[in-house]
Amino acid sequence: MIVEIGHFALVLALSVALFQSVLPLVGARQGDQRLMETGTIAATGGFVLIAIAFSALVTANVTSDFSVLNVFENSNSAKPMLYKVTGVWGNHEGSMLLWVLILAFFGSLVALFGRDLPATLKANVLAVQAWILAAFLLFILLTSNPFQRLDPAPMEGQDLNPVLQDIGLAIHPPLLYLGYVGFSVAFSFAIAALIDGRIDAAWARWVRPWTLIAWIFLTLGISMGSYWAYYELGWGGWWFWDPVENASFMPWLAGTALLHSALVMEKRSALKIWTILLAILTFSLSLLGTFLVRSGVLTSVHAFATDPTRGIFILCILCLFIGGALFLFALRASSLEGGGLFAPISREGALVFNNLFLTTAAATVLVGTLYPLVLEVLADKKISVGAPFFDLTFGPLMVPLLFAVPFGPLLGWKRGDLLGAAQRLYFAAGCALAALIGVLAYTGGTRILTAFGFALAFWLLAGSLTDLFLKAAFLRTGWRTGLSRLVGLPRSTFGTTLAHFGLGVTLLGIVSVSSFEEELITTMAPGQTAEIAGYTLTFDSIAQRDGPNFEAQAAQFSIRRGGVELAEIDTSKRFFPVRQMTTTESGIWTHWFSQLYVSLGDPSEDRQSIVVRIWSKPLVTLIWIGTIFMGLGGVFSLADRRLRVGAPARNKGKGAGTGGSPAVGAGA
Amino acid sequence: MVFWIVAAAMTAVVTLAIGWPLLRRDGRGEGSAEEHDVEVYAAQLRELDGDLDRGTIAPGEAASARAEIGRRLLRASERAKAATGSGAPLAGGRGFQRSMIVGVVAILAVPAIAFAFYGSIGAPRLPDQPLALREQPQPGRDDFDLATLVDKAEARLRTNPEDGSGWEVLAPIYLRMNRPQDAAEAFRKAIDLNGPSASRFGGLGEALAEISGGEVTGEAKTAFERALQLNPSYLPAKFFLALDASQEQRAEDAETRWSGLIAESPKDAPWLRIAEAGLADARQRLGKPPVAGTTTPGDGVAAASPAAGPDDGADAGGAGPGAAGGTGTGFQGPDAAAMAAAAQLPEGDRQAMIEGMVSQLAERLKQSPDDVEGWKRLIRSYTVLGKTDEAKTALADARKTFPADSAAAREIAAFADEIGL
Amino acid sequence: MTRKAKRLYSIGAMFVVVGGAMALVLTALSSSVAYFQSPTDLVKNVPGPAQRIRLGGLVEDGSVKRDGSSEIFFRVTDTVDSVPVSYTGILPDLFREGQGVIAEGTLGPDRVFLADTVLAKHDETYMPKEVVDDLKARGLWEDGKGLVKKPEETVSATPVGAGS
Repeated sequence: MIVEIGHFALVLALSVALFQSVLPLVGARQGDQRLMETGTIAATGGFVLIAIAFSALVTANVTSDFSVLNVFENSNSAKPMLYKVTGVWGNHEGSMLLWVLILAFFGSLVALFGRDLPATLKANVLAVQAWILAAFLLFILLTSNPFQRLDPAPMEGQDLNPVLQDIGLAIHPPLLYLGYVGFSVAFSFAIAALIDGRIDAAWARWVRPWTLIAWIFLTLGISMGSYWAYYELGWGGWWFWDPVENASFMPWLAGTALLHSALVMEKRSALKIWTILLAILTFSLSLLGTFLVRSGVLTSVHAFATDPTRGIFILCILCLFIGGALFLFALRASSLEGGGLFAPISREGALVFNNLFLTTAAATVLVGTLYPLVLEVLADKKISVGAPFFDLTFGPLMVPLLFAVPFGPLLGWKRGDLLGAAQRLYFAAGCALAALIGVLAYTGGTRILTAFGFALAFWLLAGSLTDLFLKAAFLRTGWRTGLSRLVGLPRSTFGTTLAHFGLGVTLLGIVSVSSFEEELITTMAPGQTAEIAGYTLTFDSIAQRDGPNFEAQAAQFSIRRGGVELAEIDTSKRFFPVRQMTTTESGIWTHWFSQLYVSLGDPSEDRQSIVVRIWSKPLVTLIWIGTIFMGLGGVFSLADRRLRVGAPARNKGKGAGTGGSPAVGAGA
Repeated sequence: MVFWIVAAAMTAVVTLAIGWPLLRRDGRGEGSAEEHDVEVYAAQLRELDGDLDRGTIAPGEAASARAEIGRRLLRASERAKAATGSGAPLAGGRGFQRSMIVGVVAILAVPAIAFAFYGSIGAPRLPDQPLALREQPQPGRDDFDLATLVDKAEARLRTNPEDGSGWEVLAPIYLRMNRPQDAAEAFRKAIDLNGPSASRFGGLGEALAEISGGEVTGEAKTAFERALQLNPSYLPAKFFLALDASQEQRAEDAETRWSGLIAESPKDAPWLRIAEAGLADARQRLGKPPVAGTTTPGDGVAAASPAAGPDDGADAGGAGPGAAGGTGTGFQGPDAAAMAAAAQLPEGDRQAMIEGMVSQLAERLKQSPDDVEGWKRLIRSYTVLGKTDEAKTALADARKTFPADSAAAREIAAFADEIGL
Repeated sequence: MTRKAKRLYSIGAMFVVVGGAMALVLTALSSSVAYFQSPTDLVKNVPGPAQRIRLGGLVEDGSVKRDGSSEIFFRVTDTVDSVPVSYTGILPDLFREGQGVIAEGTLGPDRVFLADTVLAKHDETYMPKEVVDDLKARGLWEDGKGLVKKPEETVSATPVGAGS
C-alpha cells in the first residue's frame, strides 16, 4: 500500500502544481490577495506530497519490494543498505523524482521565505515555478513512472550498475540537482518580472542569494563528480570534457556570470535586462543538461536508458520553456526600465568583462558539446569533440579572465582607477614573478607555459588576498586596528576573497598536475618494485577478497622513499556477478596535497603478473580543495545579512523598522 | 480499502489547505509593489552608511552613490503615494465574486484530476511485496495464488499467444495442477515458439504419459527420445524410458536403463527408490539375483506406494500405477517438489489419489477394452488395494472381452492364477 | 568620453572577444576533432598520419594478444573488414572479445592503428552508440536482436599484422 500511496501522492502533486500554475497568476492579474496566497500553500503542499512519494520509493528500495519495476531493475536484495538508499536516484526514474523533489523544495522555500516579497511578484514566481514542476511531473508520470508495478513480483532484482555503487553517488547527483534546479528560482523571477513588465527593486536583491545557493551546490556537485570519476573510473583523469560533464559545466559558467551581473544590478540597478536574459539562459542550460543526460542522446554512465519517447518529451519541455521565455523576453525587454550608467573602467565594467568572457566560454563549450550532435543529424557524419578542442578554445578564453580577476574588487563603482588598482597589486605581481622565475629555474627554462600557469595561479592567490588586506587597512592603521577592522568587514567581502582565492587554488592544482604528472604502465608480479617520482612501490601481495555482492582481487602495494616505508595502498578489481561487470577500485595515497594513484589492469596470460598503472599526481587535491574554498566563499556571501529584503513597514513608524528592516540595517 | 481512505484523506487535507485563503473576506494586498521598492532603497541607504563607517568605501564614492539611491528612493516613494491614493484595486464586488468562482472551480479540479489520472495509471489493489514478506511461507494461500497466477497468465496468453516464454512457464504448472491435456498443449506451443529443448520435450512426454493414466505411450516415448537427443544426460527422460521398458516387459532393456539411471542419479534423487524397485523387478524377470547394496524391492516400493506392496510382482506392468501412486500428484516421477508433496500427503489422501488413478484406468478400459496389459494392471491394482470383489468383476469383464481361446484370454487366466484370484 | 564613444568601445570589445572565440572554435573544429570510422572505412580510405580517428567496431574473437609487457594488440572488426590495433595501457573494465569498442588514435604507417584511448561500452546491455548506428546502417545489426552476423564469420581482408 505504501507504494501506491506514494504513486497517488505524486499524481496529487501534479494536480496541485496545475492549480498553482494558474490561480496565483490570475490573482496577480486581478490584484486579489486571496488567490495569490493560494500559491504559497500549494507550493508547500506540493513539496510535502512529492516528499511522500519519494519516501515511498525509498521504502520500496530498502525493503527490496520487487513488485516495483524500478526497484526490480536497479536493486538486489544482496546490495548493501547504503546503496539501496542511494540507488533510489541511481537510475533514470528515481533521479527524475529527485529532480522534481528538489524543484518543489525550492518552490516551497520561495513560498516560506518570500513573505516580504511584493505579493504580485511572489505569486508570479510561484506560478512559473509550478509550470516547470507540472511539466516535469507529467514527464515522470507518462514516460518514466518510478511506481510502475510488476505482478507477481520477481524473487530477485537485477542490481544497480556497479560503477554507481559508490559513496560518491550518494552525494554527487543530489548536489548537482540542487544546483541545476536552484537556478529555476532565478528563472522564475526573471519570467515573473517579464510577465509583470516591471523589475521591482526587491527583484535584484532576491535573485542574487538564490543564484548563490544554486551556484554553491553546483560548484560542489561538479567537484564531487570530478573526484568520483577520478577515483572510481580508474583512469586517473579528473575532467574528461565528456558531454555529460559539459552539461553541468555550462550552467555553472552561466551561473557564475549571473552571480556577478546580479551584483551590478543589486548595487547599481544597472544591467537589468542583461541579468534577466542571463537568468533565463542559465536555467535553459540546466534544462539542456537534463535533456542531454536524460534523453539518451549521449551514451555514457549517466544515460541510464535510451527511450526515444523520453527524449522527445524532454525536448518538448525544453523548447516550450526556453523558446517561451526568450519570446517573452523579446516581447517585453524593450519596455523594461534601463539602469544606471558607468564608465568602462569601473567595478561594473570589470563585471561586464567577467560576463563577456564567461558567457563566451559557455558558448564555446556549448558548441563543442552540440556540434557532433548537429553534424550527425544534418550531415550524417560522426565526429567526437574531445579535450584537444576545449584546450584550444576554452583555455585561451580563461587566461584574460583569470588575469583580470584581482582587479575587479579593487576598482570603484561607477568610475574606477585602473592605474591605482594596478599599483595596489604590486605584491601579487611580485608573487607571480617569483613563481615564474622559480618554475623556470626548476625546469631549466624548458617549461615556459607551465611557468606562466604557475605565475597566473599565484597572481590570483595573492591578488584575491590583497583586496582583504587593503580593506582592513593593515598598513595604514597597524596590525591591531587592522585585525579588528578585518573582523568587522562585511561577510560578502570575505566571500569574494574566498571564492577568488579558491579559483587560484584550483588553477594551481590543474597546472601542477598537467605539467608534472608522471605515469608508469608496467606489468608486475608480487615482490617486484617500480620507481616513480622518487618513490619505490613494492607489489606485496594479491589475494581474493569478496564483498557482499561482488568478488574482488585485491592487491597490496607498499610505498617507500629512501628505504623508509611511508604507506600501504590497497587496490582491487571487483566483479559483480549479477550484472557480469567489473569495476576498478583505485588505490590512492595522499601525501600533503599530492597523490600516488595505482590501478590494476588485466593479469598476464600466465596469470603470474598483472598490468599496473601508477601515477604520481603532484598537488592534485588542490583542484578539489579550491572548489571547497569557492563554495565556502558562496556561503559567506550568502550569510551577509545585508542581502535580505526589507518589507514595507506599514503599521509602525518608518524609523523603528519592522519585519526585515532591523536585519537590513544591522550591517552598520 | 485502507488505501482509498488514506488517499481520500490526503486529497481532502490538500484541497482544504490550498482553498483556505479563499475563505478570507478581504482580498486586498498588504502593500503595493511601490511601497516595497521604497523600503529596499531605504535599506540600501542604511547599508551605504555602514560601509562608510567601516571605511570600505571612499567618501567620494559614497556621496555619489547616496545621491543616486536617494534619487531612486524619491521616485519610488512618489509612485507609492500615487498608488495608495488611487485606492484599493479590485477589492470587493464583482472582482470578489469572479475570483471566488475561478478559485472554487480550480479547487474542485484538484481532486478530480488526481483521482481520474491515478485511476488510469495506478494499481490501487496491488499490495506491497517487500522481500521479507515474500520469503515467508504462506500456508493455505499457495493454491489460491497458483490459481490466480494461472488465470492471469492465461489471460495474457490469450491476447498474445505468440509469447513462447509465457507458455513455457505455464506448462509445468498445468502438469502440477493435474491438467495434463493443457500441459501437453502448452509444451507443444513452447516447443513451436521457443524451439526444442530437453526440458520442453521431457515435459511434453510427462504430460502425454499422464493423459494415458501413467502409461508411457508411443507418442510420449518419442517425446522422451527427442529430449535425450537434445540432452543425452537429461535424467527425467531416462526415467520414463526405463519405466516404459518395465511397462512393456522388455526386461533386459529395463535392466540396462534402470541401472544406467541409478548410476547417473545423485544420491538423494527422489526417483531412486522407484528406479531400484524397477531394476530389481527386471533382474528377477531375467532370473538374476538382486543387486547387492540396494534395498529390497518390496521394502522400497512399499514405503513409497501401497499399491506395489504385498506382491513385489512378477508383473512389471504393476509399476505403472504403483509409481504413479507413489509420486502423488498424477505421474510426475522425477519432480522433487511433487515427490516431497506426495510424501507429506496424509494416508487417506494418498489412497484416494491412487483410487482415482485406478478408476481412470477402469474407465479407459470400458471405452477401449482391447488392452490386455491394461486389464492385468487393473486387476492387480484392485487386489493390492484389497478390493477383491472389484478385482473379480474386472477379471470377469476381461474374460468377456477376449474370445475364450485367444492368446489374450489365456494370458489373463494365467495372470489370475498367479495372483491367486 | 561621450556616451556614444563608451557604447562604441563596449561593442568593439565584445566583437573582439566573441570574434576571437569564434576563430578559436573554427580552428579547433578543423584540427582537433576526431572522425568516427568503421574498419571498412579505414581499409578503403587511408587517412593522413596526423588525422585523429575514432575507430569503432567489435573486438574480434581470439584476437587479443598481450606480449608480456603492458602493450596490447587486438583487432577491431565490423564483420566485413578488420583492423589491427595496438594500445599501451589499461583496458577498460568492460573490454571483452566479441564486444563493442571504440579506439581513438591515429593510423600508423604499417597500417596498425595506434590507439591512445580505448573505450568500451558502459555495461552489458549497451554498445557504444556509434558502433550500433554503424552496424545498423549496414544491416549487420537489428534492434532488439543485436548482431545479425557473428564476427566469427568474418573473412579478414588484410593479413594479420598485429605482431609486426
